Amino acid sequence: MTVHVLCVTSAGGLPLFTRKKGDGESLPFSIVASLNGVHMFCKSQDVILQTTSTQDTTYVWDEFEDSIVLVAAASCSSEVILRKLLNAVFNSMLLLVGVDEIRNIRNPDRLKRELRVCYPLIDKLMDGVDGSSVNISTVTSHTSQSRNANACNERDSGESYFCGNLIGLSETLLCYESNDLLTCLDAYADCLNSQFACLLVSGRELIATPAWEDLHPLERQLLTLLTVVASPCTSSDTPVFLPFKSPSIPFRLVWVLLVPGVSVLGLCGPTPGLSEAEHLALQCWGSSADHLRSITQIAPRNFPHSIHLDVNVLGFLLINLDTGKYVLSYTANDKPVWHANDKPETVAERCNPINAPSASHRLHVLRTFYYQAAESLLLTQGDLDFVKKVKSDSVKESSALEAYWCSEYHKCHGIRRSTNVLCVLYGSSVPTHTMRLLSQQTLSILTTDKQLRW
Amino acid sequence: MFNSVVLRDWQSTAEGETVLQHFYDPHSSGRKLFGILEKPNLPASVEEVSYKLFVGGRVGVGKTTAIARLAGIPCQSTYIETAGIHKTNIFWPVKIWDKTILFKLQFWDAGENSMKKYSHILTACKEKADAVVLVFSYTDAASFLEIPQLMSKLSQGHYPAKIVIGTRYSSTVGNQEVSSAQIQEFELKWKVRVLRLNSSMSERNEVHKISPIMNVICEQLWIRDQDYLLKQGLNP
Ligand SMILES: Nc1nc2c(ncn2[C@@H]2O[C@H](COP(=O)(O)OP(=O)(O)OP(=O)(O)O)[C@@H](O)[C@H]2O)c(=O)[nH]1
Ligand SMILES: [Mg+2]
Repeated sequence: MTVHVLCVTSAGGLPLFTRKKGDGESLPFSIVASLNGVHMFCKSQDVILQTTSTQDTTYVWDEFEDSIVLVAAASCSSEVILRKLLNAVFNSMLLLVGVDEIRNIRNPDRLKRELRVCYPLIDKLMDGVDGSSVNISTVTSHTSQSRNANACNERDSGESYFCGNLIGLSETLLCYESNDLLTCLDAYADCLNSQFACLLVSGRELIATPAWEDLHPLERQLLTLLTVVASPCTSSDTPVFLPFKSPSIPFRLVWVLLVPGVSVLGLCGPTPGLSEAEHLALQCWGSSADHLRSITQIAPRNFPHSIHLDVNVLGFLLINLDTGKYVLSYTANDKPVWHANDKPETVAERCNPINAPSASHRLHVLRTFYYQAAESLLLTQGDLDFVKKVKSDSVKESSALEAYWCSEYHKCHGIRRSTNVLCVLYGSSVPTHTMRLLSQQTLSILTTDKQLRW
Repeated sequence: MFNSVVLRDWQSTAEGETVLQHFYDPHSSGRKLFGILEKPNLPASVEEVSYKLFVGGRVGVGKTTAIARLAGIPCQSTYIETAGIHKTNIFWPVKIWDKTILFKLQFWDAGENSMKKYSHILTACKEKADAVVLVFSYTDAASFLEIPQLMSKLSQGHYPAKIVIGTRYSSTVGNQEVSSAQIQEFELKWKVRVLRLNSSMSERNEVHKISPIMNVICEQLWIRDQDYLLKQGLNP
């Protein structure tokens, strides 16, 4: 499947960029021109063109700040998710370029140049549209890789960064309350003279200061993704705007790699400089190096190895609608990563159907189930508005409490209990009526332990 | 003109290879990118020296890629424009006279476009830099021609060491826009050696391909320090 995003100016229809994900052809110029033309024509007639679909492609238009128009085109994707994608794409433009340049486009060529820094972020977001990221090559490379001792390369460099990438939500890990790390983080934020700081493990938020947790989930997602898509480095100082909180005054996003896989992020004003921030990080975290190294073992399982889930659970996605965060585990019943190194899998293990679908495939199924079933059945409009962070108590809508899918190779079951939504991926051998029980059990294991940060 | 202080090819000797063992990433074929809480595990007797290097050059000449190659970490295959400042610490052991010295080279890399947009970035990168690393591309004549101007712009004030690296070098492909005569003239005029990174990146970044460049960089920094100490000694 292929996803396209194009960006043109509202005023003159000048193309600012086009991005493509997937192996399909690029959109020919004539199509690009007509997509823009038809939107402009409608606008001149006071009609807002939102979406249309052909037999195999859905098109979605959205205009932002009366200044730019974004168009998404994709096969096998719903309007809802493409609209979300466009919103996230626009917000990544705000993040790196700021609202002022976008609102008043004085020089389109300059804006075009400036927008180039957004490409990696935009491409990453397009990955998160269901289906597009699971191209056959990643699937096969992972299955074949995991059979040999090299599996860990792949794990460390790529797979742990294989983030859930659910648009507009912030990905975290489930871990036990760790007061010493929280103390380090608070101390570091103080030193930076900032309220906003968080600790990332394999690109996922492990802990954060209250002010950071209070940022919009999409802001948090974009800030984290920015560190994930950047070329690897020891530390960085990148000017960013906060699309919701500070769209026209930039902050400095300072991040420092503490140990491989773990970095600390802070939003700073003009001081301290990067060298100073690095020095402060050394002071605040110096004694925690071993602790931090041990924590990297949580990913990509993303919840503590001491917690055991039912063997039929292949993976899960747990979302907190209140805070806009989620935990995704697609290796819920795999052995810990470091064991995979020691001894080759036995034939029995390999033939175990639990090991059958590859990690990336599980991720794909869970994500698709969330977008196509859970989101529409288990969430209400009010829940979806957490994207806008307004609590509209007046609209009391109801939602289903459970939803499920059965296919030849696997089953998915989603349940909702107050603000928690849990989607579980099962092997196909699980009796359909048992899923409810197992999901309830899993939800209670994951959410009722007071020691677990959820 | 280019005397060697740093022992060439030492990294390929038995002693050098033993030391370098501590620099590899056990999970990949390359070297390890250390977090700030770590460093290579060498005997405490090994002296460590730390330097700041500012990497400059036109948009897209290959600054970020060059740093990744020197660091021995995987290069991104698609072009990612650098947003803001990216700093990469590279540890490199060298042999000077009979001593092993661990160089910690802190490469400051900033995207050209964000440097234009935010003035504090250039200031931060230039501040107390021990060296400027000027990068041009052998396939872009203009990027080479602007090196002298860039060199004087970036090295005002505190006399940083000057290092020039040309990327995308090839002796066989016909897309080279900078000739060897031009390079020779440049080297003579500015008394700087031009270092080359091969265009072909398919080969792994084996240490021995990169070590000549790293050794020259360390040597330039070392010589600059010695000169400085000497001057200090003369005018107390
Ligand atoms: N074949 C080849 N490609 C190179 C070489 N150096 C850089 N490239 C490619 O050129 C493109 C730009 O390289 P970067 O290292 O990102 O350029 P940069 O100078 O950091 O660019 P800015 O950060 O935007 O200023 C990338 O796609 C690299 O893969 C080289 O020596 N050989
Ligand atoms: Mg760069």
